[in-house]
Amino acid sequence: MANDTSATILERVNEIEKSLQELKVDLLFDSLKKKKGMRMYRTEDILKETKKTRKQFWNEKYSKVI
Amino acid sequence: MKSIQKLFKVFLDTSVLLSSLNSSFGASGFIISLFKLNKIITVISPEVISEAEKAIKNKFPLLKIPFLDFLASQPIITQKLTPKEVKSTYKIINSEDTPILAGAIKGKVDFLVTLDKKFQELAKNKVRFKILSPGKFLEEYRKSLKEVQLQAR
Repeated sequence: MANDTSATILERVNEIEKSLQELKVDLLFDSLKKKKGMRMYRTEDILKETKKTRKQFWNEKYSKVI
Repeated sequence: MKSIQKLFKVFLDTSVLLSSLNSSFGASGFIISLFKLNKIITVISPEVISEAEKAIKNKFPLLKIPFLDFLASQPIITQKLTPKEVKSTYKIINSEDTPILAGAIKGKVDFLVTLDKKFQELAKNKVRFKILSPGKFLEEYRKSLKEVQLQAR
């Protein structure tokens, strides 16, 4: 009888532990997703500005060398 | 016998440099992390520095401190281009990306990493090194790591 009760409790503890692990993994991935969005500027804007700057330098400096 | 991983010499185009300073979690940011861990050698040119400085001043002021921090990590900076080098590279790609490509050629790099797909296509198979997006470069890096691990077994 006592053994049956212990087994039931252990089973329940295992279930709780498993659920806790799942919750931890969910929380970790969730925080990673949020961090991915931690950008100060949009990548498209960076590429656009780089191209614009490059064009200016080309016209001002390098096109005269060619 | 233990195999040793070759340190890739990677030229960063301005777009990748700014993008890496903008976020540590994307592929560009990961490349900078590899550099800081001495897993790759990072090369830039005076042209990349000028472009980055101007873009930061005009549009991205929050990247100023990360940019100075990156320069303090002492990447390799190539010498200034000569008119002859600009001219000979212009014959290869005939575009405004000429000074950047010339810097990478001068730096004798293994890879040039850029976000600009047009630049990638334009110079593809025309130079000795590969021109890739940050994501593709990381794939190559991972592949080379796996090869070294296999050789070491």
